Amino acid sequence: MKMRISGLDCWSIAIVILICLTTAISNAQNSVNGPVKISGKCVTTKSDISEGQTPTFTINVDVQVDDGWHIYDVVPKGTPVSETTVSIKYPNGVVAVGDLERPFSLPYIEKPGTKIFQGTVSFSQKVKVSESFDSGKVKVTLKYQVCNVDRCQPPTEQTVSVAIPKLDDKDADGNDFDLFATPELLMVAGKPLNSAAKQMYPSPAIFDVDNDGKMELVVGDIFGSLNIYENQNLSGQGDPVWSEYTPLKSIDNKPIKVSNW
Amino acid sequence: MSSQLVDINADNKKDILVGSFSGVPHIIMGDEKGYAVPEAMKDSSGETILIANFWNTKDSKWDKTDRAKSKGHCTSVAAVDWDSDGDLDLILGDYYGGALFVRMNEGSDSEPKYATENAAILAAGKPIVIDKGLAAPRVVDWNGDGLFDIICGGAKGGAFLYLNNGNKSEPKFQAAQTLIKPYEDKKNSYVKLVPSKNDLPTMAGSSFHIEPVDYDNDGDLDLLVGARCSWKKADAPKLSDEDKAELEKIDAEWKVVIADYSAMLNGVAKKEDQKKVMESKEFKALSKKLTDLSHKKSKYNVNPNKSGDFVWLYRRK
Repeated sequence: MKMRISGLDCWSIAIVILICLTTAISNAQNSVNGPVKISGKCVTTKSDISEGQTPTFTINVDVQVDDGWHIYDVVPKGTPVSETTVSIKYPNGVVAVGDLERPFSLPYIEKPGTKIFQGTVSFSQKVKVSESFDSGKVKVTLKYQVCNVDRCQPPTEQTVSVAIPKLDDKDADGNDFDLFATPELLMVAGKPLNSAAKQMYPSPAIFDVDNDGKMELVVGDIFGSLNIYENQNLSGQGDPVWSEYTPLKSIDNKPIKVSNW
Repeated sequence: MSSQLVDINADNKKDILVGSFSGVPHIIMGDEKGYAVPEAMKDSSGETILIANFWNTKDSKWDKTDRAKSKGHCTSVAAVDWDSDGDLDLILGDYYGGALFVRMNEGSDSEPKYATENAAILAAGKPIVIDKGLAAPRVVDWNGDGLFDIICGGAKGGAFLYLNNGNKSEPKFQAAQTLIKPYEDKKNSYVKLVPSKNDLPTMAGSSFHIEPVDYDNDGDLDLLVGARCSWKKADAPKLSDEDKAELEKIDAEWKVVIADYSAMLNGVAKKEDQKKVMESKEFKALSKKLTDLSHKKSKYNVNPNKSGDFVWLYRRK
């Protein structure tokens, strides 16, 4: 069989041969992932979060290309190198918002009409998280071909998994109190509320225990005691101000103890 | 454990429903004069309401029964009209496995007759399990849709919300949403070692008992949280080599005394026999030794941590 070899085919064969010759060398020279390393994270800003709104996040995938190497953003039709593509798989309850944002690419002086990524670049995709989201990771797969002026490596791919924060950490800042402000110790006269009573496994509840029309704090514990703290703030506004405690007593004026073990 | 103001028998007098470490929920009946002594809650057959494990008051020992067709140890309880039939049913929280059960009231609001068995409460089709146990449920309409939701604390800390997306007569709960994420200390201790400032903890830690309430009257629900924690002492001293050697001696002696102490009580099941042992000269001598050793140990202030039980406010932003 006669084989017709065009100019372009010659270039392809040369590259393939080059690949065969250089793959072993480049594998030895570079880490498992070669000259390209990718990492992913889920970020957002406080302004993206508002209560009652569906939270949105941005998945950022950073691609770090070693010095002297590049990957391709755009190549002219018929050029035997692969453009970089990004595909994303979402867990239940997470959907894309808008298109993937690709980083800025540079014109490649060696090949007119070709654009490349060099150094560290970032792909980003906005996502929306619904109430049904429980847990899961977004999987981002980057397909690329990495080359330098002398040689190209075979097209390859890398996948990175990015955790989506649960709804309690909407701003993905690792602080778990997004629904709530920083927790505050309840105090009585400048000391933590339970300092005097020393109840173990305290279980607070607020209700009108003595039928005086005002709410009291009633704290139970593992040993079956119930202690009452009266609210001394009678303004009806702002935080309660708690008194020292008194034990809940029965009709016969004895402190009530619930358990008998 | 957690208390709740209810009118358990619709007599227009407020009563207090309360969980108990005995494994049996109790009711403190109220009237215009005040509160009676707590009574164990009973089912329609006259048996105490429980999950499985309980303190057997007749034999004065921990016991277990399968009569409620469930496994666990009930330490928390919450009342709610589960099926909108006008009477109060009970939600039981399990200390061991972290499950939640419902005990239906098959009677009426004025004459409650509780079923003899429990039914597991499901969320997203699976039985609710609070990891590491101590399920302490509270009932509240968290999202204002007219249906009650469940908020539950647990042994490892954290607050978990089960939104009800069923209807008035048939509640159905979604998978848990984490309102407060459990704090993970390095050792994942039962009593969490939390950060501190000015020699006080800055986070709640473990064993969350939660009360949803508009604490500051600003129109949204905050969470009160009863919890346990430990934190590093601000003034923990560093021991010299001499101190460390002395402490090792005390610890060795401590172990011997504890072994003798346990040996004397081992196999003595009955309370009256235990009393006899405890009143013996030998036992008292061992007790004194333990007290002395404890005093010696305390001089070195060996524990670098403090622990405590506190009530916290998680104020809604």
